[in-house]
Amino acid sequence: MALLQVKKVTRYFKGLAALHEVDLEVFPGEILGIIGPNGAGKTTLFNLVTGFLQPSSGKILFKGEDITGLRPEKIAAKGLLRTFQVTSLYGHLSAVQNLMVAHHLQEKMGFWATLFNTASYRNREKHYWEKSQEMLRTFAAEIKMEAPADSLPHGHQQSLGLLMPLAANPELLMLDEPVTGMNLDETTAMVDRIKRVRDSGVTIVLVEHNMKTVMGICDRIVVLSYGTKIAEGSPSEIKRNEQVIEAYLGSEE
Amino acid sequence: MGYLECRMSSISAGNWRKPCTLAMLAFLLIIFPAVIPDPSYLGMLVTCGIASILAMSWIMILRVGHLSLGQVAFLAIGAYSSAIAATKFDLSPWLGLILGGFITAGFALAIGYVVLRIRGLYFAIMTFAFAEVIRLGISNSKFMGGVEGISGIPELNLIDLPGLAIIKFDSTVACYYVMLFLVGGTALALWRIDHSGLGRTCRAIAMNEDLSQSLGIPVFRYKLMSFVVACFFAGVGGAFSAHYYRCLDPTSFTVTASIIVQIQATVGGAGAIVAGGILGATLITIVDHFLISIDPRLIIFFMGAIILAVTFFLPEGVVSLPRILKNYGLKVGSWFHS
Repeated sequence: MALLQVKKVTRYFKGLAALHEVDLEVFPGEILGIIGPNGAGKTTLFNLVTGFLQPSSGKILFKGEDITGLRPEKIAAKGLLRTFQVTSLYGHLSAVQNLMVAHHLQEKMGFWATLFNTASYRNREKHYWEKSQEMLRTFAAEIKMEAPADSLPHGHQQSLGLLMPLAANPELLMLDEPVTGMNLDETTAMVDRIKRVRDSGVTIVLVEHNMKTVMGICDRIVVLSYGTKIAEGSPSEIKRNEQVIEAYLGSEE
Repeated sequence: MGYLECRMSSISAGNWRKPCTLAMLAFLLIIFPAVIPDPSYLGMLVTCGIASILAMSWIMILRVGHLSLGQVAFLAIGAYSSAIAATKFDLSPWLGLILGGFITAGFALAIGYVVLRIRGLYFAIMTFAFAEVIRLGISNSKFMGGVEGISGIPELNLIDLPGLAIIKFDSTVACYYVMLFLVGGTALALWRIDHSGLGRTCRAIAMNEDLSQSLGIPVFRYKLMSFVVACFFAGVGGAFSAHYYRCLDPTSFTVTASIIVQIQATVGGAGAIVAGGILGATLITIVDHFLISIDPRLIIFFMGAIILAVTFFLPEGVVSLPRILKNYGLKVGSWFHS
């Protein structure tokens, strides 16, 4: 059964349809790529699925449950998480502290336990601090743990940006342009990281402009253009699809 | 924040300086009335204490990313709750302190539920409006004493244990120690929250709300919690001020007073909730006190000048001064060595 179902989702911005009756399904354990020229509606789709925007019409189901119109934190609590296009981190906090915050869904922080600094509070903090350090060592050992996040080089920030939603234990992770701005080495490392995340049991949907990356990592690809889905299939099918080629060659890409 | 901060500043890490300094300061404050029994000095410190509580509560709300321009409203609610309970319902002032806190927290819950959904400038305007509504509501209410206010509010100098004993203290000294207890309690609670995982999440929310939401953090719940807790303490401070000044009227709860709260906290250093709040409030209250005796108009000039000076030269507030001087000293020292 599909993990995520997007059913005839439409979103208007002042009379213009950013997305028009888009149907989409994401199956457990796959890496789905969403591509399309600029303005095709990819980020709008992301925002609709993750609760940052309400659809004008249509339904979104996650694990069979209707999540249309729910607030982002409620959707995240159900196991659907995302990254942002402009790498969103807590700049003044260190990498470890960033992950500590990201663990919020798992760390049940009680008000009174915190206020009185009980043993259970201290143990929980210590546990997640060690877990955060462990995550960094496993997935992104090159990041300086104690340095403020906004002082890290761009590639490290992107990597940390990927780790943040991971700390919240997602079943479905939506990545918004994960390798944008990276050089070849960083891209290869990131792709490897994404594959490892998928292998650990997380389903992945990603939006990306880097065709080589998309073709190389995705099991299936969906192509959007001017707010509608124009093609869907395996990477080799999409490469040969005439409409897709026209959509890309015809635009200012 | 949270585990990291605790590790870095704990005694177990061998860092004795801060706890020792604090212990010394506490000792000095406790013996102060014995050393300098002059009630006017004690009175000024009490005023500083009330201002400190308010400044700390303002900073706590800032922590979740909201700028409140109406903190005096909560001071007023706490003050009037306790004053009315004492004068019209014969409630003991001591219980009035607690009542004031809870009633204010209730108001904060109600108003926060609506107003915390708005961000930035509009939140500030709404708190400003709320403060004015409270002030005008009190001015026009006969029950609350109207513009003339309430007078003859009982003092905090009696402990009445029915059937056992009645202990009476000297009023100003009693108030001084109660103030120390209240400021200490507020400081401890707010410091604890700010330095914990809760405080860390609050700062995260202030830094980036969208990211926090996407990580599953119940942003609104955190904002409401911070707001209600901060205003609870402001209410307790207000109730205390009612029993200290023994008379109350709405003209002391103007918007200017709310702005002064912000100036005090900013000058002290809004980054450090306890040190910045208490330092800023104390400094500004003392300077204002001296300026009033020379010429009241000097206060406006001084306030403007100090906020400009801090913005340009000490953006992190007076609390950052030791660190800056140390860095400056190191620089000067290196000139001598090279």
